[in-house]
Amino acid sequence: MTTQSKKANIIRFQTRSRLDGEEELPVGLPPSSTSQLAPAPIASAIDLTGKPKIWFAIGPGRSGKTMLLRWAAEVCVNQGATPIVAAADPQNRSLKNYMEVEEPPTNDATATSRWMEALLRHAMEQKASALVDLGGGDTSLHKLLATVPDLAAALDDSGVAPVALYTLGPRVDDLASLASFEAFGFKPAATVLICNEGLADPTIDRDDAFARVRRHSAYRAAVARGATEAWMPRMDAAVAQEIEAKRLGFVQARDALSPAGRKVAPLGPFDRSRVRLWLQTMAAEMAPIMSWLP
Amino acid sequence: MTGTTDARFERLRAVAATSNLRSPLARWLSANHVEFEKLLKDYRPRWEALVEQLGADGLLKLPPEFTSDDQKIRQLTRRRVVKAAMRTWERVKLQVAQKSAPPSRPPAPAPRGPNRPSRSPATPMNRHALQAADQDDPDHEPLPKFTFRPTKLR
Repeated sequence: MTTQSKKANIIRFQTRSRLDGEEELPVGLPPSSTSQLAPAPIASAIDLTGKPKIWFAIGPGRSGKTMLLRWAAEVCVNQGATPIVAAADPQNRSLKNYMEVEEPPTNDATATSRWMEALLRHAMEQKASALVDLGGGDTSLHKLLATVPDLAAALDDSGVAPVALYTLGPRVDDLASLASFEAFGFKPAATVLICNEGLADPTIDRDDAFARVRRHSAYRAAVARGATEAWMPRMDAAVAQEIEAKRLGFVQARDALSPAGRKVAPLGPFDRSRVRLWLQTMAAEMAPIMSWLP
Repeated sequence: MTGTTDARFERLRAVAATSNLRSPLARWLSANHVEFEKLLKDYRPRWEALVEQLGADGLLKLPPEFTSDDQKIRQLTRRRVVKAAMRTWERVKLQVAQKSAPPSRPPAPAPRGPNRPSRSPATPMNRHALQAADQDDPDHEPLPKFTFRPTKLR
């Protein structure tokens, strides 16, 4: 009874005053190694504004050439340009799923080389721009260079700027095309080495993933002669697959649009957001070479 | 004296007959194909050595990488130049043979458009036509007619 009548002795427990002036601790996870946030663009490459251009997308199979050209063609068309898009790849001509594409009439390497020559002549005479997907198994440019070793200079002289785009994965073997074309003397002033982050281990920092490639003598020699370096951001594999399965353009995928004459279920809101981020990052990464777009 | 003039005239006629060949090497090989063929048969020389000499004589333009310090680049370049020279020779031989042979059947048609079957029949004639197309002088053979249109997104 005595205890019941006794008043409870409550201790006032306040810590707020003791926290004043305490150093704030960092919270959250450290930035992801493959952050989607684009770094500040590197110094602008040479300016090709107003010139017709021929893009030669070169690289091993599945290194991102077609994806890069799909992006470039969409940007060009949305900006009002109308380049020729050509697929010389004898194995993979998937570009035509997304746009009207010029193709060689046969898979024969020599005939393809002749077709390529006709395309380049057409561009030189008409001052037309073209995006050429050379494909992993393509030998037509090699064949053409064997007989026209000064191809880049010839294009330049005719007022058409040749642009060499090498898509690279983290494997040193991916440099084979770069090494051989440079040895052939095909060294356009506008050359870009595009490291495709989508081919690297996502848990590894991109600089580490591509360290072996970027310190290879073939890579360094190209950079030393003026080639520009760029990163192609990773697109979520599932999103990329869905876009491909639906045969959608990137802008169509982002804006939930269906291609003309087809009804396609739009991507989910999160996936559309992923596409939006990829397009933003791509634009930031390619900023130094935006004047190279036709 | 007359003999010399005749020999010169013979060479001139050979050059005139193939004056549509642009490169100096092709023209020289055309003019001297008999001697060159004999040289190949008699000595079986290394083409790399021949190419070096043809370059020194100004008939071939050797790229600077031909003597590069980098062994890999040097080998690649040499292989490429040798291949180009060999193709030029093959082409000259083909032309000489065609000129000396009586006209028989029309040449195989060149590929024309995108609706052509994926692979043309591999007749010897076709193979020759394709080989001839792949020579050092792309301006020589008339290119098949292709049309190239600006793209449209689907």
